[in-house]
Amino acid sequence: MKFLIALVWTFCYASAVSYGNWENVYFTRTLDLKKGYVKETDVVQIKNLDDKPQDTYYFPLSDGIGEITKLSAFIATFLDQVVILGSELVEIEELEGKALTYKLTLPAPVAPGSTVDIKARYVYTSGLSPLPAKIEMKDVQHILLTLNKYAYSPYQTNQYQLVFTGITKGQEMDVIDGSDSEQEPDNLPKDFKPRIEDKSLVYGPIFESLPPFTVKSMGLLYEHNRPLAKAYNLERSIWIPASNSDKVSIEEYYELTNAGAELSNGFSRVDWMQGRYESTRNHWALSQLEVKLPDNIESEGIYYTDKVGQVDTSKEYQGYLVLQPRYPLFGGWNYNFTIGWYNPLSVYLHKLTEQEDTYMVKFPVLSTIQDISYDNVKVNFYLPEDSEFVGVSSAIDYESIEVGNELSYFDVSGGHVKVTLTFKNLIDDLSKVDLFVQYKYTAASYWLKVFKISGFVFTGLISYYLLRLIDISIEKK
Amino acid sequence: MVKKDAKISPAVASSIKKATGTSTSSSTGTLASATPNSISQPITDLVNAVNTTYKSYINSLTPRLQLIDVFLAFLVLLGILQFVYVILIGNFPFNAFLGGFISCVGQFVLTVSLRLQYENSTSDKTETSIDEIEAEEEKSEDAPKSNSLFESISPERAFGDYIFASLILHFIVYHFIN
Amino acid sequence: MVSEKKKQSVSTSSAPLKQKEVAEVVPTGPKILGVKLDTIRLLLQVIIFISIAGASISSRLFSVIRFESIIHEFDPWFNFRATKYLVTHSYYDFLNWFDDRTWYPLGRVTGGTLYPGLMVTSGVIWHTLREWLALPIDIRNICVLLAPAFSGLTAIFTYFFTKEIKDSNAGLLAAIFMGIAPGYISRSVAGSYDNEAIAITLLMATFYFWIKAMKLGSVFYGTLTALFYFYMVSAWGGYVFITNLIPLHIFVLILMGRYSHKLYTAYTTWYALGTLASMQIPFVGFLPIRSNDHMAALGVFGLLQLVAVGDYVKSQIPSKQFKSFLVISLVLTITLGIIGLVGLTTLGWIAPWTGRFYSLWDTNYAKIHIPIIASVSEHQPTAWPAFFFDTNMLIWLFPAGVYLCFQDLQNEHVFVIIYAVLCSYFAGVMVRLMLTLTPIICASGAIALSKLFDVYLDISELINANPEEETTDKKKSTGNRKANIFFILLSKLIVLLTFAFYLFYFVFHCTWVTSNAYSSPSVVLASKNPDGSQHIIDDFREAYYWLRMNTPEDAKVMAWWDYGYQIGGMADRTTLVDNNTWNNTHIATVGKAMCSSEEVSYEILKKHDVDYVLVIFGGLLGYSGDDINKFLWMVRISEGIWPDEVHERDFFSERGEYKVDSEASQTMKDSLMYKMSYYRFNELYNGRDASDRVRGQTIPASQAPELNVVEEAFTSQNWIVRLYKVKDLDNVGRNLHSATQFSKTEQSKRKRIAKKPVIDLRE
Repeated sequence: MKFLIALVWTFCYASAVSYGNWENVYFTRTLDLKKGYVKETDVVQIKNLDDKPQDTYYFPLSDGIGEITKLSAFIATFLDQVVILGSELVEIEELEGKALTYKLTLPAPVAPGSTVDIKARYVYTSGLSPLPAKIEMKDVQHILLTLNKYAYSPYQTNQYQLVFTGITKGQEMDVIDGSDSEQEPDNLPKDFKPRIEDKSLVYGPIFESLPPFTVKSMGLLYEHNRPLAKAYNLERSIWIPASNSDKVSIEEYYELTNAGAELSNGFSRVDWMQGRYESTRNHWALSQLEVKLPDNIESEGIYYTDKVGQVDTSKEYQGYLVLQPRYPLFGGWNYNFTIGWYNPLSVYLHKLTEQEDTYMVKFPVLSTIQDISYDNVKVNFYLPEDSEFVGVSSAIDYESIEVGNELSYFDVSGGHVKVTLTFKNLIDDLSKVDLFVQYKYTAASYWLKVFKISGFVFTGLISYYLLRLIDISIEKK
Repeated sequence: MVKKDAKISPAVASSIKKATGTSTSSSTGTLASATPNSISQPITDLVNAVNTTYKSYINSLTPRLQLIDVFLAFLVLLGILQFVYVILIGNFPFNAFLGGFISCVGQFVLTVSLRLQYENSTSDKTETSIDEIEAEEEKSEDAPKSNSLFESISPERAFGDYIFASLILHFIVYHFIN
Repeated sequence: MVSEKKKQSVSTSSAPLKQKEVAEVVPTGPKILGVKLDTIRLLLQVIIFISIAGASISSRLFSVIRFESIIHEFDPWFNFRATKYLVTHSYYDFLNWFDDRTWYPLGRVTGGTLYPGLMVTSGVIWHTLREWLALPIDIRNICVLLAPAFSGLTAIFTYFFTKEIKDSNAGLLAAIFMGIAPGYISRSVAGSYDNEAIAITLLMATFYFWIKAMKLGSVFYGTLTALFYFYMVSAWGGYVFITNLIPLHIFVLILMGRYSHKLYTAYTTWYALGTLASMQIPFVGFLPIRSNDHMAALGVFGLLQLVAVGDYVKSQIPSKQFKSFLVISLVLTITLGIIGLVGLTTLGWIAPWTGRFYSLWDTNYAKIHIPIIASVSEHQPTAWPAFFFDTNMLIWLFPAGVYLCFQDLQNEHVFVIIYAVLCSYFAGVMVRLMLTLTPIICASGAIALSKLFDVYLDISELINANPEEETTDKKKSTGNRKANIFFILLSKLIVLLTFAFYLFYFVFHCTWVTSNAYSSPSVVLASKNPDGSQHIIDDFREAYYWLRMNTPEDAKVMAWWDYGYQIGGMADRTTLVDNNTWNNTHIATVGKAMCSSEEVSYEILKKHDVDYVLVIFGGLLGYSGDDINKFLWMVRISEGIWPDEVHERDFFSERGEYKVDSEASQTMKDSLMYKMSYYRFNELYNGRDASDRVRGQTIPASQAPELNVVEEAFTSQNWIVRLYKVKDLDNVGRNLHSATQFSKTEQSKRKRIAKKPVIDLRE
């Protein structure tokens, strides 16, 4: 037994070399469960154990059991000052399938023996599931969060604390995970028990040192009587006009679902009507969507349709577009719909002064429904026909970018230039992030288009006239 | 097509009568011959009628009308041939037979229409056509009646219409047989 | 705005008439204000045409303005779905389309059993706009707006048609009548994407070209007639009407002794080309030479050949000889014809008369023999008020117009008369055929009215007569004369003003009818809020969309056939029966499943792999077109197939009434339809007796139905659509309920193994 532990230890040590020589003085995890996804904030004080200054710190997400598959955003800063640390997602073989790992690069190397406080914030949309999966309409929905009870760090942790916020009622569950057998629970602290503190559930802190890569699966079952809104796909299209008309058309197509609990029986309208769930709005069925419209500018021509036509249950309310789906969405139910509106273009468009005929548009990546997560997001920019796409910049990483053409109304040559950015695993909070697209559009190509269209019309008329002439000549013969 | 028929014309000259008469007149003809010297007045009348008609028909022929009539006779023959084929062998590709048969019938009626229009317009004295001699047409009896007919349709127009209709007919037949 | 436009157009349509008459009065000046008269006339005509087209299109857009750009009713949903198939697949795929998503498990050879004209038309428009004009318009919008666009064309063809009958004045009147007559609007509002939408246009076009061909004896116009006839055949089953009307016209003309070579030319050209062309449509196939419906045309074709020969012979020989010739040949042909006809019918070459055809002649035929035809409301005989409702003042101008045709009995007038007589009869038999009557009502109404205007707007005699009279005998008769003129003027004014008022009222009526009666999509219902604003009741789409989003793609939905097309179009799910109604037995099966007890139904449901059952229930809202009201038809249709198992009498109460309340018969209460409609309906009234607002009866709480073989899956907001899921085949009866419940919990446990809670914590 001892031998085995020694072996593991040497193995860890051997690999730890590549991670650098650090120690976590304390490690605090705070999980915010208020919304339909998990917002985690980890505060770590790290100490350089090496004899040389180091600037590279490895930060695997606190996982270890492969639960965080859909990471939405990751940002690491110093605790006390807003300095964004360079972070890069790296692939480490031994952690594959267990945790995503970031390599953090500190702005300046840390001297041996000194400490620095790091704050990592990240959001993930996986790991939550309703339990029981099927409930009755009048029941309260419970969500099970599966997580690693401890920090999953390649370094030794001396002090550890785990905090859950944003929940009203919760209970811990043991989760037996078949794959997890090498970590024996005997070397883990025994009395790691929760207590209530300031409306949050707090574990620890414990002052025992935890070995690297400590894993202990744990389930947290908590009451969450709100829907887990999720969009499989969102396609956001922004049509930038060619002429100087000051209207940009924005259209969003959602494929929406509720990832929460399913109904154990069929949907009964009687129960739904008698429960008044729709008016009290305190139910886990998704019966109302609030879309944030762009701030401070007027959005006009709002429409809300789905594949069978217009939906009449929408209204604008204090900067929000409040939509009612055709039916309340219970767990596993889907609803596809499209919304769209027009905004004044001048708010978004800027002509660059240093370059000729070059324009820059700035749009938020989402104009989002509140409390929702997105699996796939496509943002399409339809630039005017014959314009030249210069570049795009985005504060969050996009998966891919694609430039193509799409024929639309009155396109006489290649069609509108379509720039598609693909994102994965976004959440509603990211709607503040802006995308910048730069393109070149000369006045010449605008006039060329005008002339082409009028030319076509003219040719049509002329040929009609000529044909008439020919016809008459046949008659006379 | 028309040129080809012109070559056949001597061979089928005898069947010209049939071309105008269609099957009824020919069948009545056989009926008349089957009961020779019958007392009944109608039948002799009938024979007389057929004879007179035939004679006046021969008289009114112009080369162009003759050409049309030969073509008509050819179409009738073709139609009968197809019909006999169907009765004897069977109508397996039914739409092929139908296409063939109807194209014959269609072409036949179109040609008859053309002929009627020609006949009437050429017999019309007020209209001066250039390309054909029509001296013998003057004695035809039905000239005064048909003066008003087809006044808006010149022979050229009629031929143009005919071509147009035939083209469409054969396009459909082609599509039908496929 | 729309109505204003129409008023304008009517006033312009009557104004130019005056203008023209005035113009004719001035004999010396072919110019008015330095512009040529013809130019003014042409200009006016163009303006009138544009305003007529504008009026006819805009009055059909009420539904889009009130509601939205949506496909209406039932059949249009199928046409729309087929069109979508056409534009996403190739044309040959479309013709060979075998649809396995309808008539489960039989499927339907859709490509061979539809009239493709409508879909091809909108497909061609779609492609042209998209590829040639760079206008990628959504196919739905094209489909919605197709009918209004064609209604503009109909007005123009009606103009030409009437112009051939009378003159262009009558033509213009006919065009505006046609443009806004409710009888036609009822089938051509925006969204009413049905075959009739383009068929009426083609009907008028065919007739116009036929009149033209017949008048001129032109092969060219005959060919055009045939081409439009072909288009018509490809678009609507009502082409049979043309197939019989034109031969009848010829036949009557021959009987009247009006044979001329023109008739021969026009008819034979049309028949030969038209028949051949019509056989290109897969659905029509060889019908034109086999079905009795088409025999008249063939007979007249043959007859015309004989008459042509006879005419020729007659012109060559003395009439005495001709008489005997005629007698013999007549006897011969008639005997031959009868023998041939009888022979072919007995050999089975000729298809039997179709049921729909019989129901044209005998109104009771359908009720007795084919309940499925009788169950369609548009196959019912027309009620008298409907004529006034649909055509207003034209209905009494119509006989006047026909009478005027009798007075001036040209060949084309014979046509109008035959058309009028035939269609009046048919329209009386079937509501739906009101549609074919409307054009001729408009045309003859316009003829009558324009005749009237011809007389009463003619003030030339007044102006011309005046100076002469004054010079000859001044003193004597000036007073007399003036009084005379005054009376003439007065009488004219009175008549004209009366008719101006009628015209105005006509427009008013048309607008009112269109906006109130014919603009509802029936997919979406509208009601008024207490404050007068419009409240949309969108239950159908709610439920259909739920089906589309939340059921497996291959789920089979059983519903009464009325909703088949809509389920296919909106919910995109497989249906058992739909509005095509080609298989009576299958429909009867569905009817039986609806009207039988749960145990019997369950077997049928399972046998047909039904996953969901959809019923329409209007009891909560007072929507009268619901399934309980249609229930007796389901019973009758299934009784036709299973007379031993289903009896209509069992569904009536003891006193012979159709009841759903406490007096309802046991069979009624046991039927699946009844149970599904009223399932948990009482609970909405907190256990008290529920009131059914459609039938005005109360459902006692004590007889609240229980369901065992199906479970409620979804009910729409106003309860109009109720969906039930068929339970799995485990056990029967109540065991089934608990069994499914158990297995479900089992499954959810297996998914995630969570141990019992270590710590229980409550805040």
